[in-house]
Amino acid sequence: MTLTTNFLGLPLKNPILVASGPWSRNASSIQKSIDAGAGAVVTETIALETGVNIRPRIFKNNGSLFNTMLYSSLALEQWENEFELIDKKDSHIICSIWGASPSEISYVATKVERMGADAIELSISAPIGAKNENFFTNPNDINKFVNAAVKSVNIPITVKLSYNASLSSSIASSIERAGALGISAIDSLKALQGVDIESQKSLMPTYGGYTGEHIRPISLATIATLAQFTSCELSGIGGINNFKNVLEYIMLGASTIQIASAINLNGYGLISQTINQLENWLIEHSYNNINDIKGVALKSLVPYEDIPVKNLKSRVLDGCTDVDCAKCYSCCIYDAIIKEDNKPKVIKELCTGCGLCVQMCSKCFELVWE
Amino acid sequence: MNIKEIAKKAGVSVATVSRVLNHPEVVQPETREHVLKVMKEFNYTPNWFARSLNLNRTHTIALMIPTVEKTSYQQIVSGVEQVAIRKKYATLLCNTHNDLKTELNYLDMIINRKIDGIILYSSNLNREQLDKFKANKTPLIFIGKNDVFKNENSCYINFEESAFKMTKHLIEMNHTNIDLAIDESSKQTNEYFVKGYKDAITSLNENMGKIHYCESSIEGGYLLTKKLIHKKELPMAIFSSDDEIAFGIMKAAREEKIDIPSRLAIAGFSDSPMCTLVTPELTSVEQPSKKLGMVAARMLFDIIEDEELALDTTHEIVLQSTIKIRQSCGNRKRIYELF
Ligand SMILES: Cc1cc2nc3c(=O)[nH]c(=O)nc-3n(C[C@H](O)[C@H](O)[C@H](O)COP(=O)(O)O)c2cc1C
Repeated sequence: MTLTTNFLGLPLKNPILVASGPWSRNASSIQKSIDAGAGAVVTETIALETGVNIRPRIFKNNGSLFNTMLYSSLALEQWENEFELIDKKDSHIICSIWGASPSEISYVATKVERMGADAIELSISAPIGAKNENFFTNPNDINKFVNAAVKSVNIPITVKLSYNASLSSSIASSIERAGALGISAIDSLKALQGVDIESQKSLMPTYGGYTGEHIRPISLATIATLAQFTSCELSGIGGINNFKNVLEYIMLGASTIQIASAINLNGYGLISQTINQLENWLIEHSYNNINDIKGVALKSLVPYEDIPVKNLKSRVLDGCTDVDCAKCYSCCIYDAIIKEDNKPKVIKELCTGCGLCVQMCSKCFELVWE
Repeated sequence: MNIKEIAKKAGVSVATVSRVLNHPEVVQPETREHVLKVMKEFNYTPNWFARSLNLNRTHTIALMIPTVEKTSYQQIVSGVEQVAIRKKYATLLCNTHNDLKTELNYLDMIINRKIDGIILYSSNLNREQLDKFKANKTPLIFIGKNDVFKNENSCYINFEESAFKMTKHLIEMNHTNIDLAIDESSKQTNEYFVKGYKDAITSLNENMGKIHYCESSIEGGYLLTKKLIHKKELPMAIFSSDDEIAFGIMKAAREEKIDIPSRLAIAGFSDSPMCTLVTPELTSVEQPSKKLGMVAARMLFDIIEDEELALDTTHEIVLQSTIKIRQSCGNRKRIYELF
């Protein structure tokens, strides 16, 4: 069994990448990911100017994070030093870079190529800081921008997109035409943690990037969508916590995946653990090659318009024991569930087969053909 | 054999080879020995390296700048110096007072002192003078945009686009009668400024306002505004090419009890720290001046350290500015910044 795969022309020992962020902020942190076995590591975003670390800058909400970090606080010259200290072993370094104009991005691209980057990830739509707002929403601008980087280096390029940008097929095709080989999606989502209603103040001082567990469903949909309208190779990012999530992304068409928040929350050990478990799952399921499952789940996705309307209705099972539980009555907005002899009863004429009662209480209900 | 081929043979990055030549002390000893061995094996010594060894580098670069009295210029100095110090170079500051003679004197001095490279900001040289200096082969980077040094290594902030964006913002805030107040001494940038302004007015089908030239100071803006008020020629909005002029306009408006922004909207340029101290806070264009200095220095070191590689790098880097929208033009939203 092999986890080896090809991404942007790089032969990777496995499809598990570490995403751009402060866990890849310098040589020693990148080394931790390499030592933990990552197929490749994406650096924190490198720009012509340095980012400032405001304090506090990371906010937590269950398994998700909100961050207000823009890019690396190291200058290009310092990154040159850091690069000398990394022992790449059999891993690869992908430099995440940002610039505000095509000439800027092409300059930074040549710089990181010389430092020894194996590939480049262009960060064009981080949601933090007003500078990035309205930034390149026009496919022509994006094409020029990406092309400026592609033309100036001999290493492959992937473009990291926000959720919003990923939904536009014209943006995806402008990236492809510009010569990028990959698309990485998604970047964090613009979000606010909430408002303290007593002090009447926002819990965060500015908009932040929402990441982690809660964004996974959004990102899975994005990867599935992109898989259908671009031939760029995809790197899936968003809420990956374990090997099952890795499989989900790959089954929806991603070539590689990137882990971010989960490393911040659980440490670098998560990388080796995920790789081992992924390997075991594939062995258990008798796969020889991880690429055999790439995109397999896409076949089960059908356009909404093409889904046939099955005549399904809800039926009460014998399992209902909790007389006081009234969840099913209140969730049926069609008034199809009533109480009879202290038990729920489905009025067939009113049931429209929405399926919510089954999700609320699978021991009490099931959907069956009429 | 060139530096790229050596890097390939040694299995290291081009930057590593360059650093073995320029800053051997920061390269891991094993790597350094290995690269030196490969260089020796292939009998490789870059020309520029041999030459700079012969001449003995002075580890000094010069930054020629028209004034040191304004914040944005100071930020450029800071950016240049920040990169230079990381390269273990000293920066020689040459203030030309925007005077060609002083500039030429400094250039002579730079040649005599064997300075390793020079950054020229807003130079007044003509083509002939430039070519004469270039014959000397001192690495050279220009900050600014100018017909004389078109096709030279340069970096600049896109003033034309900045002026376009700010004028457009004023129009979008429903101001119909917008004048431009510009610094009479910045001949080089004025051209781009005026073009951006005119393009915005034309593209949005507005009426062209008047262009006023005044001294780049609070006094300059003050006197201009007094004159406009007394001649009853005060427009709805004034976009000025620097914040100082804008502060002067605000001062005159306050004296004459003219309300900002309801009667007169004002936009500045360069986003000085004072913008948030005045009432209403001044909308201005933030220029990435420090970044500009850093970029210029980086381009210069690319040439000083790797003449061979510098040939295939970008020759012109254009930086973008950000509009800082505050309250002096009628905006009421708290977070509202355009890029
Ligand atoms: C603290 C923090 C800092 C980040 N910094 C960067 C960055 O510098 N560049 C970048 O492209 N993405 C950055 N990201 C976004 C991540 O790379 C990733 O796209 C996002 O977190 C979604 O993945 P996740 O749900 O696994 O965290 C950052 C995320 C976090 C949480």
